[in-house]
Amino acid sequence: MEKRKFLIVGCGTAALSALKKMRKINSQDEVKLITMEPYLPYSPTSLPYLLSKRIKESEIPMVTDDFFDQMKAELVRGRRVEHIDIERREVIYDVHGRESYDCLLIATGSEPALPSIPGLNNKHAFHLRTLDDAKKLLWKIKGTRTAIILGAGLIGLHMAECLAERKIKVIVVEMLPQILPAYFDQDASRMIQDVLEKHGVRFFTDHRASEVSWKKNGVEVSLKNGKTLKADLLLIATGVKPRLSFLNASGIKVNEGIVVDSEMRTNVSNIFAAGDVAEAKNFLTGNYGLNPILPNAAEQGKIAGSNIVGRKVEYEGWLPMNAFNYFGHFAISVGKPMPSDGDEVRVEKKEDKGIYKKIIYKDGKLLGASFLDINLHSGVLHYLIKKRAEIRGYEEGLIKMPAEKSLWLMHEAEKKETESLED
Amino acid sequence: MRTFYDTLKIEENGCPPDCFACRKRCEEVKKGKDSGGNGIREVHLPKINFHMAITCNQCTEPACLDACPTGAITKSLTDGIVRISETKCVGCRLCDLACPYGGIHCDVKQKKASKCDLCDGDPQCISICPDHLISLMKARSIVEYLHEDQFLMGSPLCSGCPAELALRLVMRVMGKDTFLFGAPGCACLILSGMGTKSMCLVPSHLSNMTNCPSTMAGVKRYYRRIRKDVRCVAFVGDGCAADVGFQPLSGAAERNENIIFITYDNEGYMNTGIQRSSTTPYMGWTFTSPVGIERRGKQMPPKNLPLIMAAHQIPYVATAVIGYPEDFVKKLTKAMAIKDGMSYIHILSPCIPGWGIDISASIDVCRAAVETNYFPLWEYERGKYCFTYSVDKPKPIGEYIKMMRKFSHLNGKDIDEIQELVNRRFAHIKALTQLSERSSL
Repeated sequence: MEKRKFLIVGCGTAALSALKKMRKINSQDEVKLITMEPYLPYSPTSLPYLLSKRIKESEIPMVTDDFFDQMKAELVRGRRVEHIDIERREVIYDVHGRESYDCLLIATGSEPALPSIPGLNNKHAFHLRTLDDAKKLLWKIKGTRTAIILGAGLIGLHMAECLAERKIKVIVVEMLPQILPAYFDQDASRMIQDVLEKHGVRFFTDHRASEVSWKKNGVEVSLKNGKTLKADLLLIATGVKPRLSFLNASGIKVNEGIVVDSEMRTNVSNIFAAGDVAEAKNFLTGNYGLNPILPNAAEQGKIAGSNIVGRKVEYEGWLPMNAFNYFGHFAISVGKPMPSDGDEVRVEKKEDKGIYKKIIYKDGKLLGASFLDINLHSGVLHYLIKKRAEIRGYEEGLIKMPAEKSLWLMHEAEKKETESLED
Repeated sequence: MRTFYDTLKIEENGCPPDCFACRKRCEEVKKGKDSGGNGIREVHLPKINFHMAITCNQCTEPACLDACPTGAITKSLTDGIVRISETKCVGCRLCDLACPYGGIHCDVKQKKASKCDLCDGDPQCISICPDHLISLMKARSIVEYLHEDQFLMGSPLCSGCPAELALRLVMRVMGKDTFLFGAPGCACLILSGMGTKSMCLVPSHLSNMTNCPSTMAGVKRYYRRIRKDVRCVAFVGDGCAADVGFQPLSGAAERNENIIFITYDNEGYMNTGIQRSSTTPYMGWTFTSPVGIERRGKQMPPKNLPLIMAAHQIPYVATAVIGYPEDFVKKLTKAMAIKDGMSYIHILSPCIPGWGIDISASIDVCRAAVETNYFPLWEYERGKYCFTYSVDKPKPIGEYIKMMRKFSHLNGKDIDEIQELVNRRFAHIKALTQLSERSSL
């Protein structure tokens, strides 16, 4: 059989797991990856840890130097893709570069979303999305004593923690009334916020920044209520958006992200998308949406890789989930953060002791779980939701002994699945 | 080609309540290291009577590996162990979020993830488990160890016959330096072939039922004399071993000849058309132990040949079934290692037409025989008896009996009687193992 040529745009988690999957299936086809990054592949998730010096820059790459040789793939670094010609099956990069393909995977990830606030620009404000961002920031924070972070999502709070670890005074401005709105309810968020405040992070929730003005050695952020905050540094963490400007007028269907079906295929049959850039089905609701988190990218990449080489695999859909470590505490959230109509909820909280446990379920199936400072295996909860495992009668147990009960339920579900395979 | 690696196997739901020996041992072993000591954890749920240890499965495609933002998790291509690099790990917990089996533990204080690394191939938790529930599945070693198939394909044996599987496995383990012996019976068809064509790739000899062990002894002595290490292996049926050729077998055992004698016990003379042998079970149907108004199959209990062989006090005797291949391979390996005497392995080998079982059922029947204690897996090694596979809750013998038509005439009372016989025989072997345990103290 003639060798096909697969092209992957991007070299993050989704791209790498697609590549690994292709080779695992024993595809002998040619694979080429094009990335705008001049570095070996790394994940933006690791960058905040660079600020807190928990990891060295040399430890950032996700793969070893010889990885692409082992995978018999070619990595083209420092090339920015500008257009895709779906008729001629070509990718155009850096004005003159052209690369043909038989099958294309778009895994370009996401870039910071800049809120429209007067005075805010990319030139002065800092993001933390690429290694270059991190390097700039590392250089900048050497003389920084105070910093303002816009946005109290995971990236914002990660940065807040890392800067606070470096004894920098941090102020976080969030327009919603609570922090981490995508993953936790108000009570849990409050408890996380309390801990962060105890470690010197100041919060202005329910506050909108109205104007940013740049001073000689610092920045001033005016809030809607008239207050003005001053700091040496401004960090933007108001979320991310898919990196897909190069798809303009290409014919590939784009909504919020690139719309993909359950095989991670776009409306063009030989073009696939995976990771932060893909708009896929939500496992629980069936609605299409973005889910820019790393485990999601890894899974979608695997599925795309498998389908590209011709082994059909269906994507079940994504789940919102995340884990957040802060000052020796940790919070995890898997599945639905808030119950909708008809869902049942079980909560146990002891705010003085910092204990918070919550599960959301319906018809004996787990839909969501969030726990603060409870030593359990969050992946097992993830498994229980994804497998739609029966938890009826053990809801109380999941609150009382979440670690043990969830492991047992997982074990039972696994056994049932093995038995049904044997039948 | 697929590669196979070692994994920790933990028996399901069998831990003693409140035991955490494995976790304690893991903590001890990994003490002083930055991460580790969380490789295994026990789950005790007394209310639902569930007690089991949970550890990493060392997955082929680890979900944790793909979810790691710094590439700190790697799967070794040489030993298959999934390891975490301490310098690269940032303790972000994404691996824990990705692992469905609870195989990774993230420590808040240490800000690192840790997991089982199989102690680099020698897991320390195995020896500490009081109930011997943890073992290292030597899947990789078996596959690496196994040599190529020493037989060509297309044997004339019945479809679904486990004897062929057993013989192929035996020869994969024994390898090329083997002289294979057979006697008239089903297996001689793969050994010597049909007509002028043979399927066997090693030297083989089809002797008579009455002189197989004696011939082997002679050949083995010749090889010893020319200083060649060639294994002499016999693969014969129960008719030869227990009945017709029993005298030379007993004689060879008494002289302690350095041969490996394997009996595939299909409980009758199946090759000649299903007649009773001395290992046909009590009340089992054959053409010569028919079922009528007066007689209800064979009237007397079978001969316990492996026990008789152990009574000869040869170095090694074992029972095995193809339904537990790892156990079987272990025993074959032990038999191969014996250079100072005879080893004997007795395999239960269900016969598709003779027992009246389904073509696809032979492996299930093998397993059921073990799980009902009808055919316990044990070994006798230089004077000591021990079980190699312990059945926690033996199934009633009825479960085994209903799988085959040779027992279809039995009523409830008959089954009770057979159950009692099974219990008695099992108690006998158990007593022998306990005797060995006591004498070793």
